[in-house]
Amino acid sequence: MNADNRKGELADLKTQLRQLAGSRAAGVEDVKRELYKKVISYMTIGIDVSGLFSEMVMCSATSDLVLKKMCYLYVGSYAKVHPDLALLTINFLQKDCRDDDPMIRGLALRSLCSLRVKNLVEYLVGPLRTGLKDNNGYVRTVAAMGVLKLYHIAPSACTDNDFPATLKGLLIHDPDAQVVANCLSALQEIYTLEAASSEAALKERELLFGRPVIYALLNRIKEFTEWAQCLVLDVVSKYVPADPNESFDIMNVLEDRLQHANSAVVLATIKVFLQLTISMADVHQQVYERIKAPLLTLISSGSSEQSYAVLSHLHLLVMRAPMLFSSDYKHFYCRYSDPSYVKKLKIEMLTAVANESNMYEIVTELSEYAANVDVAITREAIRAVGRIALQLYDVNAIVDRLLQFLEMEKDYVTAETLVLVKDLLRKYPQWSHDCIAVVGNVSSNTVQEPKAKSALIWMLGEYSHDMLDAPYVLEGFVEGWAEEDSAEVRLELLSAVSKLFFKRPPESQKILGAALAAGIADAHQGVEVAECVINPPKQAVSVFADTQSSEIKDRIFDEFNSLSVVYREPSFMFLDKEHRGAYDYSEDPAAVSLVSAPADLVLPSQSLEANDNDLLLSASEKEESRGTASNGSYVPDFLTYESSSAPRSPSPPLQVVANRNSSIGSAPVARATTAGRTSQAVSALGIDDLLGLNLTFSPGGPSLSLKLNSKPALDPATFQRKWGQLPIALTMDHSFFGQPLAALSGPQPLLRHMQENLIHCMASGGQVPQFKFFFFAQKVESPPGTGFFLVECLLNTSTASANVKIKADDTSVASKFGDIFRSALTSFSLA
Amino acid sequence: MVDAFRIHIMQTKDLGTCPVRQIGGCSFLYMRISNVYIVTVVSTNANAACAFKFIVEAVALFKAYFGGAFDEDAIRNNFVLIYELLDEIMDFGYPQNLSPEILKLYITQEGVRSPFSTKPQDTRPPANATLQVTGAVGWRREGLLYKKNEVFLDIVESVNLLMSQKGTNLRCDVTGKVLMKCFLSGMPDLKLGLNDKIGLEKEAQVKARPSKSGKTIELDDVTFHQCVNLTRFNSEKTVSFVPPDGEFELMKYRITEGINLPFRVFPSIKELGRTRMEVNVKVKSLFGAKMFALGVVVKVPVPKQTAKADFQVTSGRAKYHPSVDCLIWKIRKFPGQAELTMSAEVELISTMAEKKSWTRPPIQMEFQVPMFTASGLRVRFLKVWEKSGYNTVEWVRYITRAGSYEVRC
Repeated sequence: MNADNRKGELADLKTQLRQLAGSRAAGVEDVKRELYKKVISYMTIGIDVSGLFSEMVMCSATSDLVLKKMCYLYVGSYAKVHPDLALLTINFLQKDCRDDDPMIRGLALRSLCSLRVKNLVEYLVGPLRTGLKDNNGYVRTVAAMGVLKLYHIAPSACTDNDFPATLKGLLIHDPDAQVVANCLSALQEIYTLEAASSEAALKERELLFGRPVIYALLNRIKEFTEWAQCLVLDVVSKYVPADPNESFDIMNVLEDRLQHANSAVVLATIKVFLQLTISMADVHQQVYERIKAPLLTLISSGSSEQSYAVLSHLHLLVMRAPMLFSSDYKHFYCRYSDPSYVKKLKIEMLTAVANESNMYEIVTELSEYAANVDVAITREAIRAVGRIALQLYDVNAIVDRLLQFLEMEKDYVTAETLVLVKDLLRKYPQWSHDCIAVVGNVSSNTVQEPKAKSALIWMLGEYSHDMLDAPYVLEGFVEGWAEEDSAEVRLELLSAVSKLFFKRPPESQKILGAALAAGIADAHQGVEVAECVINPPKQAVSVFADTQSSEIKDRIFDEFNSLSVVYREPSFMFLDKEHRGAYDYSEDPAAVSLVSAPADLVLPSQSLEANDNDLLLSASEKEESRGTASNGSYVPDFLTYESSSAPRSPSPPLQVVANRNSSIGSAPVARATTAGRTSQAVSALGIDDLLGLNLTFSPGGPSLSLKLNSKPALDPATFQRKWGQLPIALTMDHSFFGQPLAALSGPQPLLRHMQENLIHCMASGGQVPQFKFFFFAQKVESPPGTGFFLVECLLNTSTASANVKIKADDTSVASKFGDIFRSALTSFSLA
Repeated sequence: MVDAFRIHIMQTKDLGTCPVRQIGGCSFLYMRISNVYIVTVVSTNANAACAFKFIVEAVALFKAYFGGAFDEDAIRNNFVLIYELLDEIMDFGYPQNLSPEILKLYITQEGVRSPFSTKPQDTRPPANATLQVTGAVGWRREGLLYKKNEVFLDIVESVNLLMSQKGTNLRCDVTGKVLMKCFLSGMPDLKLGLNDKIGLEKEAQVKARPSKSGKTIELDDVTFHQCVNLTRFNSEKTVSFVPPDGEFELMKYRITEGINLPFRVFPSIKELGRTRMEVNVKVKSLFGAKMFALGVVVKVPVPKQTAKADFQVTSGRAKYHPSVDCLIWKIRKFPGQAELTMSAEVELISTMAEKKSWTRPPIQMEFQVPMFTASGLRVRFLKVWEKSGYNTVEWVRYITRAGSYEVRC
């Protein structure tokens, strides 16, 4: 349809509607319905039909329910864009709110609350109040939700009219369970939002979800719909019982929920059980045993998407207590038809539950997957075999398996296997004989991936005395020096050739000469090459100490039954509140919209488009950052967009704040003891400021009395222990608006930069725009194990701010270290 | 939102790699059903399991309204209805009522005036219908009347099997469903007895006599429709319930021990040089001689470069299907205690490319065996009690189907 045609069509619709407006002829409803359908279908495919607004409203006087609904839908979609016209609809909506038919009362009230026009709020309060007192349950359910909608449009109008208090009354006393459920949703959301700004609301919320309400909800749990049960169970999971007996009572009441057909209810119940018993170790374990059967049922029934959601949770539990699941490994066997995201989780779980008794079977099963069509899964399976081999003692059979992979003659299988065989040899040198025999048969030109090449070259060098043709193979590699792009491979080659020379000098003199010549001529490398040859970096055997700290894991566990578990990140890492705060209330924050490819059911509106822009920008930015993870590209669009949508008052680059404000990640114990120390830190910094030390200085340089050790040694376990024990010495909020740091696209560049400043990284994670780092540094000339500074740094590139928490063995120099850290952040550049 | 999904998920290779994706500040949870994507968009740390379950239930609801089909055309033809339904099943992001039973009471395709008020000035407490919309027995309305009271009960099991090349049982389980179709008047109370272990033991205790000889079944896990009184199940170990009207799934269970496999497959695949393969598959039925299986399909994967295949079968028909790279052998009716074989000579096109070892996907089977349960589960009794004391006719059927029935070769 071209534009002219469409215009004609709309004008036509307009006149037809106008003619029908006053008509009371028989059959007129049917004609109207067809016209309305046409209008709605145009609206659905994105044609602007807002020009028909007044005609549509004129025709709205009808007793036909379907017509009414279409009219409400139309009004709801365009009211936001045409607030002046929306006023026209108030009258008939209010009238419908007083209709004799409860269905119409409910529908009208819902539409009225969904107009989302701020200056119409005054017309909303009256109908809402009557709606909450309506004698019909349907109307009350709608009204309860209406209160929440009102809160999002005009929070003060909602609280000033005491609507939350009314909801509280209904929560306890309403005979209709769905009303209770909706009150619960509304109150929970309102108080959570309020609590962010007011202490009183926080207390209020705690009080609200105290024992009386929890018991009232639990007692009627069976009356709720399955969805409302999920909601109630979630609230219950946050309740802290007074003593174990109370916990047992609650669990007894809820035990049968584990047999519910709705998987969401089962999962919600599991969460309650896990949370209630978290401090009772033995019962907690019994809970695992109890919930196993329902979980295993859930993963084998339903769609793959559903089982993925459940598997993610099972995965979390398996990782927490692999022994408890070691006899259930067969449930984690992959089906041929499982999608790869399910297979991947299953393989990880198989790896985790492997132990002495089931290892052989698991490895046999994993070897089957190595022949999978899906390359990613094949790799995953081979790595899993390797991981099991490195974890367990009796690896006889596993080594055989691994070597068989080499005989499959598939490039990627060979590549993965070579890397693993190398790691194995570092841990179990006794297997060298068997391995070398097979590795020797690998044709070197099938090995292309740098990691695999390095592994092969390392083995050739290390075991050159046992491998007859090692010199010739290495010679081939040296000849290909010029075509070799990977520095890693070149380095490995140099050291391998040198090792070869010591073992078999006559054969290898020429090769060594050639390799050294090539190495010297190499434009990319300088002195490090020589250093690497003489002092080859010993690659550590892959360590499986988890990269995620146990604190992070506990947080994820606390957020059981949510996206955190699926993403394996606590919610603060992927939810960006400030980011969202910049938009006015446009799309329902928790709304679920069903979108189908052919018919877009999401209603278009301007602010939604604004949000689309954001989605596109940040997502494209994300992709870019993935592509160029190492060189971190600067994305100016993103920044300008941010600055225009969220104007920010200019703030000093560094603020020292009382660490009460930042609760993220700090243990409660630590928080209690820090008040005094903070004031000390503040004053220390105040003096620094007075002295005009707010200059940039060379990190760790002579301008400061604090010097850092260039090679501090701290293992993750000690870090964790110290982090748990030490109080926070200093908290800083650092703003880097407009600085290169704001364009950080991956953790790596910052890690390297900080390392140059003698601040080392223990762990890092996150994606644009949220990153989290744990750093450490040590004061120079400290006795071993002391003088450490531990840092937790939360970085948000979209708000260009960093929250830094510093803990120190010696708190007297914490503020000095803070300065070093701050200046290191400031001097970061993406060069 | 729609564009974000289209650009970042539908038009990339990532489609199908993970059903939960984050774009910008939003998480997209999606499912594909026939040619339609259903997407849940959330900006909070939402409950993923609940979101997927909601999608599944919503689709079931749409299907119930559209008469079974859920595809592009159904959506195009029913968009007004979809708007109406969406309005009722979800309010401000919170799921409301998704029970087709109840929704059908007040959302009708005919769009008649709502059932609530045929009379004006109705200020009495809510009528029946409203109670059902939100009330206590949410799944059944009162005042139903049937001339003939009938209950149909189907036990449908699907057997999942993963067998190794050597014939060892790697993994085997049965997931079963008890499906009911009730055409009963009034508010009947039903009680179902099965030959499962817990139920029988309980009974033995109560009646103080040993349970009858015969097999008892140990259920690994059971879940019930919301109508089942779970408290009574836990205390008395009986399945008692007031059923919804029409069709519903009463219970689901899972069994891993003591499974009677309906079929065993003995494959032998020999690669004879580069261009020939010999496939021999023997299938043995293990169920009773008086029973038979229907719609048996055996799919034997062959390499991509297969040119043609010559078959010999003792029963049924076999054919090479190049589109799926499989030899497909179909047997319409497979008698019990029988042994059928298919042998095939497969010719391969010799390729210039290097020898690529062929990853042999497993042989898959499809079948249905009526009147057979792989678990051995049987209905012992089904009692219907209603205050008017009418008689009911009960029909019980059993069927076992193949779930993912895979044999490696």
